[in-house]
Amino acid sequence: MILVAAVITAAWWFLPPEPDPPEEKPLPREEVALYFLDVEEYQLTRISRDVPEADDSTERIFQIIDHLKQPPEAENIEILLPGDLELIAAYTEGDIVYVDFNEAFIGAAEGSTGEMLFLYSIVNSLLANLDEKYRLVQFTVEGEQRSTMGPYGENSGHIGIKYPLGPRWIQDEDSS
Amino acid sequence: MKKYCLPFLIGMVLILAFMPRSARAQQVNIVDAGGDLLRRVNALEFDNKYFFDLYDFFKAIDFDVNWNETTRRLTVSGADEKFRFSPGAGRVMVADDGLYPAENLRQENGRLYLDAEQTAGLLKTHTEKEYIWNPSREQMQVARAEDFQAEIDPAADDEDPIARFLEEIPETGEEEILVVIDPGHGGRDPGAIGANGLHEKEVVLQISLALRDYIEENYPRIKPVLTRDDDRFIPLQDRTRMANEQQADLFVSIHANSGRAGASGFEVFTLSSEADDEEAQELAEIENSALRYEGVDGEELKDIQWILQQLQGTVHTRESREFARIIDDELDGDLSLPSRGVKQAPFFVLKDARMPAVLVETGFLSNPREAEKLGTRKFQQEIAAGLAGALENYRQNRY
Repeated sequence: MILVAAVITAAWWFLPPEPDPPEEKPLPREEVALYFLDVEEYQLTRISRDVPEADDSTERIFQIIDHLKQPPEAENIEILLPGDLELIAAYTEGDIVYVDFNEAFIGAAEGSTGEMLFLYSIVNSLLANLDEKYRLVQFTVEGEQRSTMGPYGENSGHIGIKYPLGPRWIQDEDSS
Repeated sequence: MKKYCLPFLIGMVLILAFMPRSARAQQVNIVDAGGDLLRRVNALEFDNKYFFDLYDFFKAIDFDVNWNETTRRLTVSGADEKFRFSPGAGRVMVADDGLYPAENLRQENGRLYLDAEQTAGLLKTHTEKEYIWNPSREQMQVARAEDFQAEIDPAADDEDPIARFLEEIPETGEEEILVVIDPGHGGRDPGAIGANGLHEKEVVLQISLALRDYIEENYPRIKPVLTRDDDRFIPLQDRTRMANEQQADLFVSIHANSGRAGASGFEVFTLSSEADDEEAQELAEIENSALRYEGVDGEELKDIQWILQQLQGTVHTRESREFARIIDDELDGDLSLPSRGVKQAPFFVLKDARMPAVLVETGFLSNPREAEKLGTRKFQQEIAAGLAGALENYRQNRY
């Protein structure tokens, strides 16, 4: 009996130790610039946020839109994208970024200033974080081009979205 | 010797008659209904007319007087009335009543003067007191209206001094202009809905109608045309099509803004092109190649027409910005709302305009205080008066 116990002890002693679980390497991250609403100044403001590296431009586009829906911690800074807004598809061609949204895009903002803030929070955020060869953003809704984002027919809004939009910082041109 | 005297005297008379007359400093009396002296104020005599030093005059009749060096405007406030004199624009803003031309405002040695008779007319019309300017006695008589009942000549009472004042003002720009005023939204499109339930389409229609009326009453050289004068839906592209077909000189689209409850102020927008740089470069290249043409065939003509269209667009862009700045300046002084400045964006309603075109956001309906204001006749008329002043200012400077 003693012999058996000695053999088991020796076997346990001389067995190679279990290998440590593989060390989890943190995914590489990088900083992106996102444009939110500064409620005090009532204009866009740039906020930096750490996000995982994206494999390609399409992944980055989805990631940016997703982060634009997450409220920043800073005081008096708010999101402009409604919660039910979904990005259906995204791709790039030439110098244009194409983004196709669901129907929640229509009427997601109203008034000239409201539409400008909403549209340019997306345009500015996308173009700030993609290769600089991309200069413009083309919006579509459920695969269709629209003249405006107005809710009472495509002719009822303010900002023209039939053609792609370039970045704009929504500042008084006299003070810029 | 005597034979030279007569020609010499005639020469001297002619020199004196035609030499430029300079203004003479004077002092005039302000007296009460009984003729008793109340104050003496500085004035200027020019061409047999008296001009009050407005700063001294309004101080003397117990108004609060404020000269803003930055805007170069003199604001005077009495118990219930307020006037703002803008010598640069040649006009006076009367709170609650609108803008009046005042081209007889003079600036001498850093002081602001207005013709005594016009000053009396302005005060008589817009205050509860009677002001009568007596040029032969060089005095201004002031009293409560009832104190003057016995003295007022009934025939003279029919004559409205402001109307006479307006008739006497010479026009500096002679050209008439056609302005298309576009009340935004309408019909099935209510536009923004205010914190108080007010619909944007109703507010902007009221403002546009007030603007049309104000222009027709005060600026005969501006012809206003509305894209809609009732509650109907007009597609965006049809609005500028109307202006293009009528060969309008200016296009003004009127809106009320929306956003967060705290957002406040008015904004003036002009059209931006998202590909300005690229188009400018392409234009320059074709323009350069066109300059080398010796003959003009069909293709070259198309190029040149394209160049002319692009150049016209560039001129309209510049003029639109200039017009937008004039509107911003007028409204900034006259409205009790902050200016959010002049901005550019690719507005769908402006893109086909073949004339200088702007879009004015008059205030935020999403802001409860501004929504309440936008719903009042008084505020709508203030906006109309400011916009009309800007149109006249632009017309006089451009035409």
